[in-house]
Amino acid sequence: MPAPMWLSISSQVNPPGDLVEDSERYERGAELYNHLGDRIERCFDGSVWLMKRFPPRSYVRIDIRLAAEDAAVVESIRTKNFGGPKEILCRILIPATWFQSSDDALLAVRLLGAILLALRHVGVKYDLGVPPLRAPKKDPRSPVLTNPFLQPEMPAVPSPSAASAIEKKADSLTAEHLLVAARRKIPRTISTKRDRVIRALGVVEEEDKVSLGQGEEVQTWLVRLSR
Amino acid sequence: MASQALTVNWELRAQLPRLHLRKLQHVTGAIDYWLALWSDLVTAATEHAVHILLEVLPDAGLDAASVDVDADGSSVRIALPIELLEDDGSAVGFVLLDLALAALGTIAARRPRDVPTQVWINPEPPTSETEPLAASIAMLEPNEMMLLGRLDGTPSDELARFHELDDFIGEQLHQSGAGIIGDTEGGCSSATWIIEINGR
Repeated sequence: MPAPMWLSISSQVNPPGDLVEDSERYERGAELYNHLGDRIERCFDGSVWLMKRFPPRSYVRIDIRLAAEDAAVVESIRTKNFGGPKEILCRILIPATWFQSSDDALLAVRLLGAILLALRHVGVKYDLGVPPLRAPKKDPRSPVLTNPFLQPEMPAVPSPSAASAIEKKADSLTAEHLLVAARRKIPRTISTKRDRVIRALGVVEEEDKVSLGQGEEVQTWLVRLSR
Repeated sequence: MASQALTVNWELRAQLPRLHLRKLQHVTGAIDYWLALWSDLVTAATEHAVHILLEVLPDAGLDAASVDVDADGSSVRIALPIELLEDDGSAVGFVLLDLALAALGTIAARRPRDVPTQVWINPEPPTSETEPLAASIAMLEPNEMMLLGRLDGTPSDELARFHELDDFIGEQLHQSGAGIIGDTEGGCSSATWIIEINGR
């Protein structure tokens, strides 16, 4: 069960031009916001924290703006909903000069501090205290964290021949059939259960494998529905 | 993923009752854990392991927590009011992480790296227009399977057929107990289901 979402980060797409000399630099830095939000969301139990006062599934949205400040400051905090969970909107101002340093890792550490500042103020305003830090064994393991400084792993792009092989199978499908596809290289515990699912759906009439290229293969089954 | 590289080491300079000491050990352990998970950021910001001297202040009031970094950024002193260890106690983790991050930021600013770290930006969104079906099959996780069914050319209308198939698949999965439907997507002529096989 993934931990409920309790934090989101938003920002200006186009900050005032007099604050940002290098818009490319700004955009690169702003890529960090969601990465950092994920990290904070995972290490604090924000849902438990917000439940002291707000309905279930309420969340904090931190809206980041650039300003001619020397340090991060909280500008405003308000709540908002239309029935259901509350959005607790905290707008913070961060120094535009943070974007003048070319080091994104330094910017990241500073932004983490700014996010904590916002959470602390939300806690004060609504008498929640600060969000509790999770013990390592309470790590929900989601969201999955990715390194913002490295090229992300791209999913295998199927070769044109693999794509057309799959399309051909899909096109020849009748209403009495399902086409099933799954990875070939998987642990046995999963393949046993997978076979159970396929048997539950119907009778396998055809089995095939399709190579996606780069050593990746998928297995396909043509299943006649058991109805 | 989580490198166990010790990015921070703690030195406690205080005589504390055993309960308080244990609490502090739990908290520094948790912070070590989270900073290790964030080692991509932390090690990119500061090249060197950070030594943090922890002091505990008696009768100082909850707001007395503070952090000092020496001029060359090689050592850090964090002072925590003992009240933080005495109350029901969830605040100390937040405060200590906050101060540790402040110290890391100060160190990173004082000792900039020769080659600054930069966020990876994908140069171009993928341009090659692969068949969407094949592309989504290629993205399947090992514990996932995709089902594809036809909706057109059926006696009843597509929407009814869609729900009928969805119900059927959901029911068979429920009975087999082997997985759940993660996502269902219906189009005009076909529909797909992503099945997540139960782990363990």
